[in-house]
Amino acid sequence: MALVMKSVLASRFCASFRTAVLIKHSSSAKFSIAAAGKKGSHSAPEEDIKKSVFISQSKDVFSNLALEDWMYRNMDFSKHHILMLWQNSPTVVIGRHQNPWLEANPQVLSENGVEVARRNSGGGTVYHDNGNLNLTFFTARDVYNRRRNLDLVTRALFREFNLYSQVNSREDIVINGNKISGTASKLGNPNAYHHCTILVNVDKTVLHDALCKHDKGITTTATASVPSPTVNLQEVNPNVSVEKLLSALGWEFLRSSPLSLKDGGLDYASAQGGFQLVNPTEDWFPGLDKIREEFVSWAWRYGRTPEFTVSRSFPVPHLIARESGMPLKDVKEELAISLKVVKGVIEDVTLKIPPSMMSARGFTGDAEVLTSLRGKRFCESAMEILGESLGQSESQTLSPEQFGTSSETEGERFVADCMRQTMMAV
Amino acid sequence: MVTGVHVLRATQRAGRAYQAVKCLTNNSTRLNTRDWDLCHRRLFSSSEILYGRKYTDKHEWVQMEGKIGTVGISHYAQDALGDVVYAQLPDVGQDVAQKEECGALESVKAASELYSPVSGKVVEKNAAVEEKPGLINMSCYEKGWLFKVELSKPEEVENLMDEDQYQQFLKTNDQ
Repeated sequence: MALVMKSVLASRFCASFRTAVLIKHSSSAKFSIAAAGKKGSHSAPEEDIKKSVFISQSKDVFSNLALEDWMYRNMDFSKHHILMLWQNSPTVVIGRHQNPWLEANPQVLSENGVEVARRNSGGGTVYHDNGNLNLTFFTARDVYNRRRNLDLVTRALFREFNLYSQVNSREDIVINGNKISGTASKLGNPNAYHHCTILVNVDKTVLHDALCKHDKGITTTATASVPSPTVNLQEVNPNVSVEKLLSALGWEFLRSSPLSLKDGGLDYASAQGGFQLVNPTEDWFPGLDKIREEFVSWAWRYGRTPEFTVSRSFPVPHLIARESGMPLKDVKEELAISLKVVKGVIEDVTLKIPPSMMSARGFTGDAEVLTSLRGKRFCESAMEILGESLGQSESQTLSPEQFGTSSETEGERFVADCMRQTMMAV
Repeated sequence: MVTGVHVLRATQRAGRAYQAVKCLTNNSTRLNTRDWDLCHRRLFSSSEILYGRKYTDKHEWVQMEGKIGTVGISHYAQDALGDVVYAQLPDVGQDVAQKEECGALESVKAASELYSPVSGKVVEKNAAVEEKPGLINMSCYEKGWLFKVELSKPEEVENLMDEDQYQQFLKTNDQ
């Protein structure tokens, strides 16, 4: 990306843009924590605020999220507004208070090598790949204004590509009612940021499959995503590419005044901090590795999931019910399973066993597998436990000494299998 | 001079109490949201005189009862946030420090950090708010409280703003 940017800049602005383009490549620490803003500081008057564009040289979602967080925590934005432009390899990014099992389809993700990441801002789930560009607008909290940033984006789209886009009531950017950009933000003190995605030529098949919702039987208070029809900018104007968009947005940011968005043209832009290529590494940003580790951790990605319950019901097969001695036509009963998951760990398993199963010869109703699930991470570790127990009961079925209690084995196998299906569906 | 200030405050309080009563008695028709908000504000302003609610510059409040402080966010803060859809509260047993992040409130796609107004150990959190975050918007001073802290540094409360100081702070901040 570095080379592309250089050539874009060189060809378009070489003459008029004299000294402002700062492209830094050295690997020594560029940004020290000592530069952090004083807590509670207020934004400077508009004319004293400088603007810079940072372009991340990494496509690793965890490094980019860590960079975003590092800047939010450590930099002083009272006199300096920064637009960070970044891209990720294929990733599903969920909102801070969302449930990854509810929002994404793990099977589709693993088949396509798509990562799951949890960000620090609110809002719903988005899909990123190389056809998507991410923007983060950093300001002091007291001048944070999402609408202003979005207006800047629509202005850039019009100036550069003649595209008409609108900001809707959910603060998404739409073209003819189809979403091209999703927005979320994080507000703290003294800093805040607003970030958004822009779809240029994202693989919509993967996007759809990765985020496609089906009934998983999950009940939760977690933030819900609001699915919307999307469109790639390239479908509207084939002339748009990620590189051109990146340049257009960067220039629009630099030429617009920070608070009132007054267009200062190239003279104004050239007095700003220009474009800086940044590497989200420990060398450049001391302390970044630790933040990245946190973003990668199971505890953050899955463990931070708001409490939820998965509930499913399964009709009891005749083979088991027959043992109960009840007439078959009356057997329309279901086994109901409910798993309570707190901080990503199974806290409670509830089984509602119908009478036909309870009275089945030998079935005691307390499948051991249930106890072993408690305290296990949802759902990989739990699946392993189930796999083991299913294997055991299979061998039991085959052994002659267990033959007499086949219904007990069948019953427990049925319960374990239902449990497995409950988790598989999620 | 000093007496003058006291008198003024007393008048303001009396005025508020009067407004609150007027608000309640004069509206036989349905109150619109704005009136209701104003009414709420005034009502709670007068209740502050009784209970001593203290505020931070980040718009959290704390109300003391013995060693236990109940924490919530102000009417101004809930109004600025908009509809809260998720409340991430500190866990019981967790240590919180004054001015440090201890949770977040999510509204219209924004996660706003929650800063504790006091230091101490969390002894209770409001499960009703976790279940129904809209309580924060509907009743930020009563049903929408967030968590309770057993204070480790009770003197911290002294430096927080009282109702009048907070109202003054809001006025100067708006300009």
